[in-house]
Amino acid sequence: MKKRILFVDDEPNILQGLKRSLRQQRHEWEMDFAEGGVQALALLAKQPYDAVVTDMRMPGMDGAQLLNEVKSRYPDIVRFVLSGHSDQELIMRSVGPSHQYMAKPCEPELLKASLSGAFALRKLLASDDLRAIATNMTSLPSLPSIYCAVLEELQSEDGSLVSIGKLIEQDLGMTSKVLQLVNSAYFGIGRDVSSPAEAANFLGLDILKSLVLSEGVFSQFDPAVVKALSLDTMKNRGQLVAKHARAIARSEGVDGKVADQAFLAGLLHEMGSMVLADNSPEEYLRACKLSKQENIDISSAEKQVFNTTHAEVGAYILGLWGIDDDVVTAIAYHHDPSAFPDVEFSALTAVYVASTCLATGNNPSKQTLFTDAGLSYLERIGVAERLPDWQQMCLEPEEEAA
Amino acid sequence: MFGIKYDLKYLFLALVLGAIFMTAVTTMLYWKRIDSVNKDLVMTAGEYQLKTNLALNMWNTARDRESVFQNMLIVDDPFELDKLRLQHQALAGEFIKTSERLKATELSDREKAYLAELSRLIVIGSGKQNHIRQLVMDGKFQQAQAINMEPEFNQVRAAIFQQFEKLFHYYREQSYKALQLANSTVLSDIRIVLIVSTIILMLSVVVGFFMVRGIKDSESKLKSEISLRMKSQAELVKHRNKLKIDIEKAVEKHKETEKERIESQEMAVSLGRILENSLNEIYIFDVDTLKFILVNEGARKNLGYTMEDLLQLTAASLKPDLSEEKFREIVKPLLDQTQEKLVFLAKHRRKDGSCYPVEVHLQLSLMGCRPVFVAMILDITPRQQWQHKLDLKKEEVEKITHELAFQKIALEEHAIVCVLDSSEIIQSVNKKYVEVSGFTEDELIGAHFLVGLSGEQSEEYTIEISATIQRGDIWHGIISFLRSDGSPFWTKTTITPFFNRNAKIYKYVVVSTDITDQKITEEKLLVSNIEIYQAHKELSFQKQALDEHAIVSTSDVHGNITYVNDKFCEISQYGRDELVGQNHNILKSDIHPDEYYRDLWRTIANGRVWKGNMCNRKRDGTFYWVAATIVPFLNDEGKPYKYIAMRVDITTQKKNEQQLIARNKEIEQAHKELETSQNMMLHAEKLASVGQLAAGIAHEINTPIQFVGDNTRFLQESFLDLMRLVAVYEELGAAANEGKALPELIDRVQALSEEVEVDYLAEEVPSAIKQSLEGVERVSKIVRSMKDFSHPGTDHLENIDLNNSIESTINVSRNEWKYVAEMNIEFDSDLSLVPCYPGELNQVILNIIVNAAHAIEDSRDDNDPLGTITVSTKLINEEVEIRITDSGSGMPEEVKKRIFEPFFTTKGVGKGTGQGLAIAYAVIVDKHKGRVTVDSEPGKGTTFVIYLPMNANVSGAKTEVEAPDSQSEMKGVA
Repeated sequence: MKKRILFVDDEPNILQGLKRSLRQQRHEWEMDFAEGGVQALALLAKQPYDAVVTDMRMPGMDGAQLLNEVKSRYPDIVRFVLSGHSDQELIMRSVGPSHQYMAKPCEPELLKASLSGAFALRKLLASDDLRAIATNMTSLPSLPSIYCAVLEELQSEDGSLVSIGKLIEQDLGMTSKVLQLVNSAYFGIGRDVSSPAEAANFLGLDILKSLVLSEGVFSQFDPAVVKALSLDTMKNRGQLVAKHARAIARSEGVDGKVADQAFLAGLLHEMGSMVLADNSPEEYLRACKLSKQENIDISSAEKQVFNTTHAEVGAYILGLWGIDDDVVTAIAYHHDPSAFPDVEFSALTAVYVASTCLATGNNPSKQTLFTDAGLSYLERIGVAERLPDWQQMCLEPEEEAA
Repeated sequence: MFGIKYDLKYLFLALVLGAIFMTAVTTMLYWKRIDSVNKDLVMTAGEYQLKTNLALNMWNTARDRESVFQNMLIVDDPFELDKLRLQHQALAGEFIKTSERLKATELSDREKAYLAELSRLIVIGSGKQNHIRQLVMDGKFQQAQAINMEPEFNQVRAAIFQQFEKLFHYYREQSYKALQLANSTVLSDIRIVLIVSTIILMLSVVVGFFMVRGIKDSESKLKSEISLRMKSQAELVKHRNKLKIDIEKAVEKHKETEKERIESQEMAVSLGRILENSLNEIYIFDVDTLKFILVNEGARKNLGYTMEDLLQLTAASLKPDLSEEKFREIVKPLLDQTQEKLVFLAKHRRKDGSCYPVEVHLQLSLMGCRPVFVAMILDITPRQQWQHKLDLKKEEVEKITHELAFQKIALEEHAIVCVLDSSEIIQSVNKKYVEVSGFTEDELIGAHFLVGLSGEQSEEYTIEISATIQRGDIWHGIISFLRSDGSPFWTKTTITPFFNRNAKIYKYVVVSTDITDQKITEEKLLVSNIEIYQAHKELSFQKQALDEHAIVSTSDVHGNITYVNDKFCEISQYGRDELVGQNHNILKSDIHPDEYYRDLWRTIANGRVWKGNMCNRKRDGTFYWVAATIVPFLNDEGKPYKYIAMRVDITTQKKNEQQLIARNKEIEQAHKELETSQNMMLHAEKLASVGQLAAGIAHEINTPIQFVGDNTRFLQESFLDLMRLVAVYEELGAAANEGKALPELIDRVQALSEEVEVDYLAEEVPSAIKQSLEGVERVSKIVRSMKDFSHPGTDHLENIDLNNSIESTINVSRNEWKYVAEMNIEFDSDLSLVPCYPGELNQVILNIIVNAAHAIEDSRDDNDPLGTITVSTKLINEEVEIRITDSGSGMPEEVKKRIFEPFFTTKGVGKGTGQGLAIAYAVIVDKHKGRVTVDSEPGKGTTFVIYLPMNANVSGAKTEVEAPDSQSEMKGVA
């Protein structure tokens, strides 16, 4: 089944150009072209679309307005921006409703890859409802305490990027969003950044401030939910895994970038749980109980309750946001790395080891959670013999982060 | 015996005591008598002294009057004469007053007789004198002289003199008599007192003798009596003492009396001394021998003899023209008593042999009891001299009269003469009058004199003439007469009134000289005199003003000071002495370069005025500034021989000036800073707008690049497809040539054609190429506009194509307005190059366009049709009008008023700097010297109109650059 994509731009030359350059996709994609928001909405009303790619600045309804409209009317449509503008105000308005931001001039290959990637992620979430929830999710809620600390730091006269970076690091919501922005074409940075501190540095205080203050960019958890789901514990767990994963990656002497990816993936590996918990707290609690009662891992319980896992949800969202593929993969497969056709040490390896070690440590029965499949994965990439060392590293309560 | 003796003794004693008593009484009586005599004497002496003094005064007055009178006869100056006349009159009054005083005293019959006679004589003499005086006053000298010389008058004079002599003689006699009487009385009395006192003393001695003897004879008997006798003795002693005191007192009294007597005598002597001192010569000589007894000082002096000499001489011997016989004959009538007094003329010879004429007044008198002649001699030398003078005068008068006759003829010929009667009616006129006036004699005679005057003189003037002459005074002045032709003729005129015997004016003689020509000249002269006076006055005022105000000095050609005024000294702190003679360079300061002084000297040495501000040095070394003007005084050759320098103190002014310059510098500095900050502001604004524009421009570029890229990629792919097709076609062609079976190939072509969609390509490729080229054009246009817009700011005016420049601005700002408005461009194609600062001007246009876009955006909903922005240019006369109109929200009045204020913005925080229009104002008004107006109506839109002058000098920027230089030059001067 062909994917239907709607391109919106006030400049007909652009639309014609796109039509011509994407003509080779004509066998996979159904492409429609609208010369403005009003026309786009009319087309959307006529038939379902998988993605909308729109210009931002248009006479009449602009891109942000259009995407907000699409988000509310058709939550599971992938929303992309293709704009030649670098006007900050406009960008801020689009950060909320859009999943990815691409800058003109844009290589058709990039556009193709982004759209294809997004379409591929859709397979992760079989449930239309859940997909709709995840797709609609434009930001992850943050922990109120950290959010306030960041706000305070930003508004204080001597607020520094270093301290803000450290604060953001502790919060999944903000970390994910910051990284989304940094890694997109929004601010013209356009490079892979995996460290929240580095991301904060790239964005700078002014953008961070406008992000924090802009409506719909960051949101906060309901404190009651935070308590009920022990999100603080989850946060701590994410941080621990992030640190250990980075330590493991470093111990393997890999590229610094892999270590960062390992850290970020570690940090966000349970992000999907938050999404699930945030959207369906009761069901999530049920899944948690099921996991304890039946002594099965949480992923299995989630599968039973949601027909998906937190790993899949998190990966989907982050993938949709354009986060680095390796990070998304690490998150998506951190429970079952063998399902991923990996051949060498990656962020996935580090996060799998770190998270499994932590889970084993936390397991009351102390029974190892390294499955045969997992061990064979390690063997496949040739790092099985490293496991004891890593396990040892993960037992150390505090790993000094570099 | 003893009884008798005792009885006798007592009787004797009683007798003695009685005698003593008698003596005392007598003494007392005589004492009183002496006292009264004394008093009488004092009284008499005082009385006569007073009388003598009065008589003397009278005499002196009479003499003075005579002398004044005589003077009157010889003085010819009428004023002097008048003065003498008054003196003469005054002396008469004085004489009468003195005589009245004398008459008021107690007079004896003889005195009365003397005084009466004197009065009578004086009246006669005075009458005569008055008569003569009147004659003199009337100019009748001859007659006066004749009367004066009449013997009758001389006799009166002599009689008066005699009468005075008698009076004096009488007073002398009376004084003498009183003195003699007192003398004899007092002497006899004292003699009696002395005799009585002697007798009493002798008696006392006899009594004493008897008493001592009586004691010796019967001591015991006498013992009882001793006490009595001692008592008597003591009493006697007492009495004797008393007597002694009384005698001493009497002696003393006598002494006093004697002293008083001497004083009386002295008084008499002093009377004599008065005579002695009299200037008149008074001789007293013996009746028989004619030998001089007394000759007063006046006489002695005049004669040159001493008294001793004169005692040996006789009265006759002094007179060389008289023999003794003749003299005796003359004096005989006096001795015969037939005449009381003699007056005759004679000559006296002085000791040195010279003679002088005298008038002798001789009379018989008594000196004591001795008859003597008293001669009063008047030296008549002056009188004779007067006579001589009078004779001369007479001759002169005759001569003058003679001359006058000639003069009269000459006068008749030359002067204008007319005679008026007492009513000022013309009685007669001379020929000259007729000639000058142009009237006939008949016409003139009978007319009123003053009526004949022209109207040149005021009424007051003629009235005054009339009054003067009617008063009897001579009028002298200038009168203008009327000619028959009505023109005036000016005369210098004297009108003399003539008096008849009754001192009444009976005619006037008018003598005039024609001064018409002179008058005209005079008037001219007067005018020029007034002018000169005025000029002089003004000059002196100016000098004064100058001296008050200015610092003035003069110097010689070498600059050596010859004069300085007070102000100069004051300001320079030097004294005048320190400056005069010094060279001016004593004041030289080091402020001015040598060239400055050289120029000064060159100027003034060439005779030109030098002006300038100069700094001088005071004595204390401090400086003062003056505005100086140095004027050379040129001699006939045009060479300066001195310089006058006038200066005004401008130190304060200079200070102020310097302060001003400093202030100006500060202001300039501030201005520069302001300009710099304005430039910086402009620059910042430009950067801000460039930043703002960059996003828009990026979009404007990115968009075409996007589709150019897409199209090109499409063309690339299409080309590959087409090439594939071409390859099959080539195969087909080759097969056709080889004659191979074609259907399979044709199918392949068919299939490939369908695959590559040749129809689509045939349709799309040209369009893709066209759109790509469009896109490339758009990019190059925006890049070009950017280049135009971001024209580097120049500091001088440049001639630019304004339309093109504005279009570029519109292009670069396209992204700002294209979503809200359509742009209408109405450029004046006639507009050629316009002088402006392109960088700044573009900025202004951009600001206004962006504001216009914002204004439209504010007033417009998303679905509303686009607004409009109209940009037009138009050449109107010497100005370019740039009009930018938008259909935006417009502005209320209070906003409109403030839009050109810096930092005023209605936009939200972060949206506008508030500088855009402030900069627009600065750029258009300050830099371009143009204007900018704004017209706005809320809800309808806003129109900005910029006017730029076309005639701005492109090279004018250079003058601006030069301006500070010229200023600094001025500073250098200052």
